[in-house]
Amino acid sequence: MSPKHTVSLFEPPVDRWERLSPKYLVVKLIGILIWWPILTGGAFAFVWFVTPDDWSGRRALLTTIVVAGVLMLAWRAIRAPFAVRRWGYAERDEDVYLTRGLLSRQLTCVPYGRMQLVEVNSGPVERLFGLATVSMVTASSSGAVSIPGLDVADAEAVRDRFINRGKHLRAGI
Amino acid sequence: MEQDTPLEGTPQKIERPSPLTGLANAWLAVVAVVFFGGRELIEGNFDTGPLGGFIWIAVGALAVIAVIALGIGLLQWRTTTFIVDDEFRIERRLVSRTTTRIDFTKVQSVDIHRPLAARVLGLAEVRIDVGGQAPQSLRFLKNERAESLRDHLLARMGQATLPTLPDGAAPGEAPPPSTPATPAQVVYKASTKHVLLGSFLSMGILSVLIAAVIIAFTLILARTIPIVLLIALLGIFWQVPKQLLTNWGFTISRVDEGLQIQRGALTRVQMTLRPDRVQAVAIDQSLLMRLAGLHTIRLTVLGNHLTADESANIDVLMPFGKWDEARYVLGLIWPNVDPETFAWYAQSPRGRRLSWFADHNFTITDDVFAVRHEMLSHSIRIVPHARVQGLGIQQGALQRLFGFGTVRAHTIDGPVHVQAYHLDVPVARQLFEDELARSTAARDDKAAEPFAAEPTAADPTWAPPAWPR
Repeated sequence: MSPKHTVSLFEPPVDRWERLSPKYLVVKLIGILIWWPILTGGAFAFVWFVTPDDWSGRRALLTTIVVAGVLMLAWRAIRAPFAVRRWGYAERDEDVYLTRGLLSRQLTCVPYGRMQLVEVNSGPVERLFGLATVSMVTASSSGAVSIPGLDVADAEAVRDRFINRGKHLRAGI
Repeated sequence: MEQDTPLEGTPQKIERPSPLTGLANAWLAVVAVVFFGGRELIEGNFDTGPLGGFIWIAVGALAVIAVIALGIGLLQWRTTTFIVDDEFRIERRLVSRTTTRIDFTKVQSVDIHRPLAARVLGLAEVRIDVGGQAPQSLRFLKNERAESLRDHLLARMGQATLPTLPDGAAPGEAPPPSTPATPAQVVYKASTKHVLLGSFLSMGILSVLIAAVIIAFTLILARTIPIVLLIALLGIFWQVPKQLLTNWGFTISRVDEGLQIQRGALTRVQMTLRPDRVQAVAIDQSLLMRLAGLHTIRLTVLGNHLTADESANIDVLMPFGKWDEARYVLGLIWPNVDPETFAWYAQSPRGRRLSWFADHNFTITDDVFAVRHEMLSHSIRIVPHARVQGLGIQQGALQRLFGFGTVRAHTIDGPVHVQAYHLDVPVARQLFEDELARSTAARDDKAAEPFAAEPTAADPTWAPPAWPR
């Protein structure tokens, strides 16, 4: 029960939010640069093979796809730094707070005692930069949260802290 | 590829799956292809052409698949390690590097699976169910290691006795008939009239309108109702017979393990519900049911959906009944909870700007967090503090403009979602922190659970209120 009157909905429960590693922005941008061209190319190829050669609207449709793909890529790339800055987590004695989201903001709290397992995952690009994602799996799939963009050592320390703290809390669902 | 697992000083025994995993994997893939391909072939779905050529192609394809599966299996074997001593950790380094750490106390069950190929090679797959999510699996281990691992896990998991774990009784399981316990005492019987009426109303207002229009048109144009039309209408109204057959003779009795539910006209289903496994409850009313004054009680139950058999799921605690019936039936699982006594807090008047069409309320009592939504259909959702898995606040762009937030109590997956919409920002955060504190306290204090009280005295002579009044 917090007696203090919270002005902001997404205020940290402790002094300040722990932020992600700055390197995560680079990982994110690389991801955007890889995935959006693939998606655009896929849609382009699909239309190219499906529509007949002599169809009048073909050129317009293909152009639209390319333009939309480039715009989406630009938009994702522009918003990435702001979105990354919005991520934050705060560990407390019995639970962890997490906030994220640019347009639609979210605040989630998961008690350590509710974590079924904790996973550290790092994809090829993340590994290149020595980063990892910590995922906390609870019995509720809507309540499961993950923190991306932590240094691998940090991520493993976070995982072990979560599990060890959860051990001392009452188990069960 | 990084081969060495980063370990902190202490020597831990790092284990790998059996090297034969690749072989078993290849075998399984080939068997699957032969099985499905053979079935297609027998059913004549392939144009085989000259048979000799086809067989060579088939054998070639099988060989390719076997080699690929063998490769994947070998890769899995080379890249998977696990550690079981004071901690339990599985590491996979295929494309992305994943290490999974599982708390022993959270392990719900450990199964050993032996597909034929694995059995021949003396291998077994260990599946570790941690509740809620897909089970973690280790494929394949040597038989002895699989068994010792299972025993070790079960022993470690038994050290912390889980109060909410079933004693081997899945929710859908019928109680063992051999144990002559206290005889089942019938505590609730759904009124046949309510079930009839409710099933009829469950088709929804849209279907009624469509049907009315079709019947009217046919009557005007043809001046008679052909039998084909009746059958077609039955297709639209499939909900009605389905509901009727499922909920026919819905009876709840009290047995030693909890409550026993019997229902069904054609296939009589018998299920045992342990009240402490109920995670959340919804009391729902569709628009038509509101006119008739009927309610349905839905449940989110731990362990539902684990079995593939859908009929074994306990989703409904009361098919159709009056408000007083609903309160009584709810009291059977949660004696302390009576929705009639809830003091509802309205969403702020400003909040109605975003949802002028609906009325949203919430409340916190000593035992539960509850929300009420009233649009065309009405719904009350209740989750005990002790069953809240986590909390969330969401704020969309429009909500930020007006200064609102939505608070959600996460429960395990099921039909009931508990969300309080469009609260003023300070209220939302206050509710979030309040509910968090209460759920933390309730987890530590068994007496705070709503089912901890003595069960209400069941009235065997209790009968549903007459309909119509």
